[in-house]
Amino acid sequence: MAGEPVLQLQDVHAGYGEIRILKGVSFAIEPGTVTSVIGANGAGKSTLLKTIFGMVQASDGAIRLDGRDVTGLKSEERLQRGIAIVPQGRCNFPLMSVQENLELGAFIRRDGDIKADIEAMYGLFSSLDAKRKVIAGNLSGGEQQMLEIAMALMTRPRVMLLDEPSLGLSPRMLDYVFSSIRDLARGHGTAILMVEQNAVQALRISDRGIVIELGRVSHQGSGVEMLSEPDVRRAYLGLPADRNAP
Amino acid sequence: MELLLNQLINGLTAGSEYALIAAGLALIFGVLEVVNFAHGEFYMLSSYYLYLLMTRYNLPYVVAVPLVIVAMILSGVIFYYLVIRRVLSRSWQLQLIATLALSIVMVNTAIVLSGPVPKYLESPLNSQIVQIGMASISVQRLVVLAATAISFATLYAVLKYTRIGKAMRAVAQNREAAAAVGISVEKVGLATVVAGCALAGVAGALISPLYTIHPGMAALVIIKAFAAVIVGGFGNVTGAVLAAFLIGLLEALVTTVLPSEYADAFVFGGMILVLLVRPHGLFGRVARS
Amino acid sequence: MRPTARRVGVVPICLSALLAAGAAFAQAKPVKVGLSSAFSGHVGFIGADARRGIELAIEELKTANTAVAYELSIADDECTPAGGATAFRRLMDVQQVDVIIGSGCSGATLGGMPTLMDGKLSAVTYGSTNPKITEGAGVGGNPYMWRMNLNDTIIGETFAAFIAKDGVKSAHILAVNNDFGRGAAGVYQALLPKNDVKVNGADFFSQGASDLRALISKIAARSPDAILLFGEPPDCALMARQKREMNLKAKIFSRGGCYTDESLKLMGDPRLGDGLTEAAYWARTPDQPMVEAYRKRHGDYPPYNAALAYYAMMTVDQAVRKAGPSRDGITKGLAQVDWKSAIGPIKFDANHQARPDLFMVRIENGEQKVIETISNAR
Repeated sequence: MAGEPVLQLQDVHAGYGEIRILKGVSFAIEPGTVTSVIGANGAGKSTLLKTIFGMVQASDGAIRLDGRDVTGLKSEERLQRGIAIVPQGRCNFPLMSVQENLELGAFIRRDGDIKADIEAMYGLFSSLDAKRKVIAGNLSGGEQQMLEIAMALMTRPRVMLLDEPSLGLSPRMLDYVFSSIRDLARGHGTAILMVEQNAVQALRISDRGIVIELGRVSHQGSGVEMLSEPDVRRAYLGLPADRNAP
Repeated sequence: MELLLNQLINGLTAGSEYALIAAGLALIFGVLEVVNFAHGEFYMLSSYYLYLLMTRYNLPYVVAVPLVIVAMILSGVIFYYLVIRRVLSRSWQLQLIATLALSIVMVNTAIVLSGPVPKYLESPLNSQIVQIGMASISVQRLVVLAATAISFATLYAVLKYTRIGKAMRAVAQNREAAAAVGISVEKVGLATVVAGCALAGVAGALISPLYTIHPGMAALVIIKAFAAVIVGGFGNVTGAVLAAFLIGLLEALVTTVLPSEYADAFVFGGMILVLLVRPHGLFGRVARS
Repeated sequence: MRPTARRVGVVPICLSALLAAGAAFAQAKPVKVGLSSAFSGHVGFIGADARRGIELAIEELKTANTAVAYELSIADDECTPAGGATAFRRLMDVQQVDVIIGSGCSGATLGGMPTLMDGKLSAVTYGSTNPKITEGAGVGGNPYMWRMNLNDTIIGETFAAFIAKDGVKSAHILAVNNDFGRGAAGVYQALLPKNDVKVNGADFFSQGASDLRALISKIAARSPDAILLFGEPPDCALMARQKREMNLKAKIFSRGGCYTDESLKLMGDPRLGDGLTEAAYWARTPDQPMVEAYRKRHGDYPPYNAALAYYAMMTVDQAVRKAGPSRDGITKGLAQVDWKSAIGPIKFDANHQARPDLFMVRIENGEQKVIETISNAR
């Protein structure tokens, strides 16, 4: 767990117009790790991801990528520097083929390796390989989720933000998605920050957990620590406070 | 037979006028989800540009036409930054008020600047008449048909093969996903509005010499263009263009067999019928753009 | 004959009375005249034209007659029935005018007429030709509506006979789909057969329609001797151009302003109008001083709306002299008007219809030419 953080937030405030949602969030994540953000509905989890990506502008505080301040940058510029996002809900181009979607995933790139990277994605997500020409809207929910993660990976991100990757997936598909996420972090060295309703399962594959409460970080620790923290278990995991209780 | 051929040509030329305007309307709605109630006024604006270039600066028609398109591209840029960009992520009510207000401002500015008296521009191609079979048609009208075909082929190619075209389709299909892959909605919005204005510019520069130019000239055309956009499946450019030609042909046909005052009733009755059977329009489920 | 000349003679006679009445009368608040016409939309030019005509008349009256001053207010009726009702109401209640001139459009006049009853306010139309206005005015029920210009029935009787005399055996009617066009079409559908001219059919186009090709194709297929066109100058210009494009041979007879300078200008090449004949309730005849006066002021010959509105304003002034400047006085005065104007006698009958001259105007070598002036006085 030692090493330089890839992403660092320091006292970040953000919101929509007059409504303040994040009221001073600070944490850091390291390369090759998975971090889960949990919290009640409306606590500001999605806003947190959007603020890191620049879809919502921080009104105060600093966001640093590899030690460099990106707080004032636009989304496209953050994407260029290595922050990618898979927003909540369907996030592909439903009337374009899998191939076209992956090409658009590399929209900001102008190098010659795009074709090779697309082939690499087909290697990584074999279920997409057979469906290169299929319209994205006709894929299953799990396949679409895979496609969206693959699209985000096309920018070769240093940090990937996932908003509810398990939403609407069957339990079997969910296991597959979570294990893929863990493998991605380990294999590619990508830092993954995800917001997840399935908090228990998310924490199991996470290196760290962060609890957001009323726009602030209330608890943080390793995934295992979070799973045994009584307040967190009771309030967010739907488990009894004492892990040894019946 | 002669009458039918004549009416076919009449329907197609009326259809091109509706289609060039409907395409821009559908494009702007499809990509940006903004209903541009001022779109017809851009047709009017381009006609006045043509008038200005030909009468004030005495430019010949063939020189003035490309300049009108350039002027319309610049007007599109101004329109985007002045109006559309400011309302892009606001409520539809606000967008409606903004574009409707612009429409009123443009019509009345035209009345103030040029007076309400209609103007006429002579294109040299107006008086060159050719015979196609039994039908008699001016070269200007043939140019309109050809230019419409070229405009749509260009639009199709841009949307299908260019980087900005792909980005436009991406924004149309999923704006959030487009933002996530780094497509700047602002730049796409600019390109879309400019493309829509350029299409209206083609319409104004080529069609207005056939008719007369006046501040309210878009009023009747824009209603048909809206009908085409609705029948074509709101936001579906191909659908809107096909529906526009369908409306033009239907009008010519109805006029032939019935007293002409029923033509509009048939067009709009047909529109209601289509919406009853297919609430998303004729081409509502086909790919946007 | 010339109104200005007559008025100069009147002034000295009135002078002593004026002095006796004191400056109060001379400086009494001006007579408020309201103009209801279209100032916006695609026929918005007719309101601007009428306004210039009235302003010219007021200017001339000011130099000739110090007793009564006129002040003009305008209201936009958009040439529609609803617009007419609103504009008349606005002039009556908000602007508090003493008389309305207008509307220039039949639809707006018909829409505005009923509101006159509420304010006991008279309106003089100078350009509406729909016969319904005459039928409903005076003994027809509305004592406040007056028409200075000829209506379509009077014009129609003369024009239908003229068309028959011109050798036409069959005709097709093409008219703008509004009160003017529909009214005129009805009149000629009845009158032409009485003159042994067969009417093949009647078609209507929307006001401001840009393309008449589909209609012309249909009409051409039935090859009538003549087309009767009822429309505004832009429609006439469109017709002339599309007639050339489609090589249509039928003669054109028109109402609504096809012979006018603006129509010829809109044709691009005015010779496209050659052969067109219009029965005009106003034309540029040499014995009208207002034509040159207008040209001096505006650089152009007066459009028919300007000229007719000018004569309407002069008619109002005639009424004011007869019975005073109040709403009531003007209504009483209009009934007594008996004025030999430069466009024929202005005297209202029981239906408040005046009968000035009718002008047959033909386009020859791209220029309008009055081929016949017909008196309608009974």
